[in-house]
Amino acid sequence: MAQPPTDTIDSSAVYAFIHDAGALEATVRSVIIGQHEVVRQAVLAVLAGGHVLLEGVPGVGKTLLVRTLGAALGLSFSRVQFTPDLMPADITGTTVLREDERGQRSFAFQAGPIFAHVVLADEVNRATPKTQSALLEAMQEGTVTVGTATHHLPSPFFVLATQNPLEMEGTYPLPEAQLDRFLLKILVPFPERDVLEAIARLSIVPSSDVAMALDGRRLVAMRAVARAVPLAAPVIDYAVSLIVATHPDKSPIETVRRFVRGGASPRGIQALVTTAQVRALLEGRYNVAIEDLQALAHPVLRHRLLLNFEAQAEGMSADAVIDDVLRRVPVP
Amino acid sequence: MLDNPTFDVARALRPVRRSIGLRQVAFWAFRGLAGGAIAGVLLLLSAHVRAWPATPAALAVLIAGVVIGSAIGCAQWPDLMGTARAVDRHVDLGERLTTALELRATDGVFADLQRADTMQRVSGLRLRGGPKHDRRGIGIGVAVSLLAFVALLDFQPAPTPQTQTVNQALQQRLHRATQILLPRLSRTVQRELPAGRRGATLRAVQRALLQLRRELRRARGTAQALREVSSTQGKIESLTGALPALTTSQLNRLARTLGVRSKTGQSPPRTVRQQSQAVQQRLHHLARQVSHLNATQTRTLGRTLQEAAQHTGGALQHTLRQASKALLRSRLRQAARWLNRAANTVHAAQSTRSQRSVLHQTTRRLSSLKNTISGLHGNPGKANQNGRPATHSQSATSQSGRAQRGNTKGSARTSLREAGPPVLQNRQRLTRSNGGGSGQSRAPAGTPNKGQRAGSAGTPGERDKSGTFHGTYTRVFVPGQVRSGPHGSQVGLSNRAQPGKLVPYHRVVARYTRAARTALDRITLPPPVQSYVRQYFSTIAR
Repeated sequence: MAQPPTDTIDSSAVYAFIHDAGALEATVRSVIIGQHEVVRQAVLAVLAGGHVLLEGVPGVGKTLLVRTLGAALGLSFSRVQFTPDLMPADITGTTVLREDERGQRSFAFQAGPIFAHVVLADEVNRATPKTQSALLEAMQEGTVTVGTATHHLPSPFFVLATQNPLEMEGTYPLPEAQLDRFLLKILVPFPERDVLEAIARLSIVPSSDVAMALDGRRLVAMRAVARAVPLAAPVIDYAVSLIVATHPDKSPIETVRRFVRGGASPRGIQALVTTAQVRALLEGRYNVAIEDLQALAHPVLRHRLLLNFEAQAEGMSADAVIDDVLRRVPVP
Repeated sequence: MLDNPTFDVARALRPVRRSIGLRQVAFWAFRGLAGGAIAGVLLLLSAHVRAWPATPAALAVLIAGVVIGSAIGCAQWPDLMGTARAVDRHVDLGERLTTALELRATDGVFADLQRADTMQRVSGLRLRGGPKHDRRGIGIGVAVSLLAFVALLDFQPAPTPQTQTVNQALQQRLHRATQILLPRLSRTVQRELPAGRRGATLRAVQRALLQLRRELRRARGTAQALREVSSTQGKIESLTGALPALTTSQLNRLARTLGVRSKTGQSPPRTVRQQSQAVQQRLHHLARQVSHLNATQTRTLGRTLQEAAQHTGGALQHTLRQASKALLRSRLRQAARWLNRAANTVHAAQSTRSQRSVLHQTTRRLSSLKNTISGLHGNPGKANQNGRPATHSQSATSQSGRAQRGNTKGSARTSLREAGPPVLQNRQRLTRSNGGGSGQSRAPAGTPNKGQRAGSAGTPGERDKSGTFHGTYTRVFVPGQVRSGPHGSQVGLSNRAQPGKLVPYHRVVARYTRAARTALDRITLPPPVQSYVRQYFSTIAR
């Protein structure tokens, strides 16, 4: 039984988590019409303390989702539109020469847009790898180094990056190592017809009008609560089986052996378990269930599976491979 | 469970565990039942292909299937964790019971909350769930296989009236053979073997007869019973072959070479016994006199003994040759010893003549026993070797011929009468009844069986005013070789049946069939007998 120390957690903290998480989700849903699963996954990622990669065609509400989430959390928010000519300093900030009232000049660090709690990296794949790596280093380390000075990013810190899967010309796909740093990759689908009708009738509520559901300190405390949700041995066993099954050299599944070049990393199982803990609480359960792992397998694993050329040639997607893995890995 | 403030998940799972375990056992028992029924169906079907008592075996397989299935079910009795997993999956509890079971010894916020949550969830449930097996498929499988099983039990090939009759008759014959004939034969052998010679041979014969009795009790068919009798015949013939032998012609030549004369005069002894005694006395006399012979006489005697040895065989030949060598080398004492040994060998051969005769009689009585087992007896009439009705005079001659053998008269006749009708038994008797012959039995081809010569067959006959039997034949088995009867031509069986050697049935049946058909074409047999022979071979060919 995996169980982190729960000395500082009491039952009221757990109930508060469930209440606050529900409030956050409800707030975001009040703005985002439809896309319930996308909202749920985004909230999960925020509560689990991970970064999110949103992929969807333009206009499906990716940016709105991120802005709403930032507003609901009551956290500082910044947006960076990634373009090919964007430089790392444009994100991280730079040292500038500053002259004070007395005419004395000195170098001072001018923080970039990354120094916010919630950063929206719009169309992250349009920037050059150099710029991408500056962002991704900040995501991983939670610090920015400019010259000889290291600057800590505010906590909590989330990067919610978006990608457009259609206009791939002139883009720089994120390297696999950097993709792995995103906790979830959420696909934002085109809304259903009834959702479109609802969108047409309602005016979009500006983000400034979004009620604040949480603050940063509360969010950090909630993470600790989520980490304490217990997992039974069969659940851990199933999570391990899922991760192992994505590796072509160890998997008994033909689809994986045929189409996958590299499987999910150990960070993948951490992401799976962490998000499953949060989901269990959101579902009103005090233990992680197999169902949680199955529900989160796609957003957690889809960007961690490296498909080979044959998969691309046959139009095999990572989601299809994960579907097969979920079908074939036996539930203990 | 609801009344219990501290939720004990293990206690809550206990009845579920029992329920799942019992269901598991029932499930596997049903599978075993289905498997046993299928195996039973196969066994019952096999009984349709080849008749055998499959019903007990099929029932045993059915029961064994249930027992094995139940055992497998018991072996898969679930543990607590397995039970928790099964209930979680069955009632869709989201691993609540599994986690609660793991956390049962843990204190903490989440452990308490989880236990309370689990208790709340399961309070309204009837925890009797478990792994859902495909009962519908199993049920259909069990029903279909059981139906087929019962149906095949009902439609088992019933023995035909003819088969039943044949089986009953065989059982009666075997009963008669084991309970009456074989004990009587055993007593006869005990009585007839010479008093001084009831040693190892008698014990071996009695052992063979006892074993035959046991085997006949176990025999399930005519063929097996006949095989056992033939095997016993082979054993007795082997015993016969192991006894020292000196034929009459050998004895005659030996006597002639040694210049044996009777005590009273110059004429040679008339009976074999007298001749044997004379040869013995002559050899003892030579042993005593050899020390008084001169060199020329010694060499002459040596050459004579060498010549005499050529007319004998076995131990006697060896002793005579040794005596001859000793004389030619002028080793007179040694020669005297070898001559005395030769005399003793002649005596032993003479003594075993009667023993051999008894063993031959026993073998022939076993042949008669074969007739009894085969159901080819019960007709008082006798057949001569032509397959024609035996005349009264022939029968009388045969009877008297048999009666002349001192050691078999009376009891042997009684035994043979019990074992079946009189049989054409040996060369001597045939010679007498026919007034000559080749020394081979000339019974017409009839019903040969495993190296046994077939005798004539027929039906009970009647004696007319002149005392002659008409239209009556007795079907017999006689050891020897098939010949064509009065014509003297051989009808196809070239190799002689060897005593004690068993030949597989399939190797000889075709030859015997051909031989019988050829014989039927060449010799005169009454039509019922011919049809019987043809029917017999058609039956065994099937």
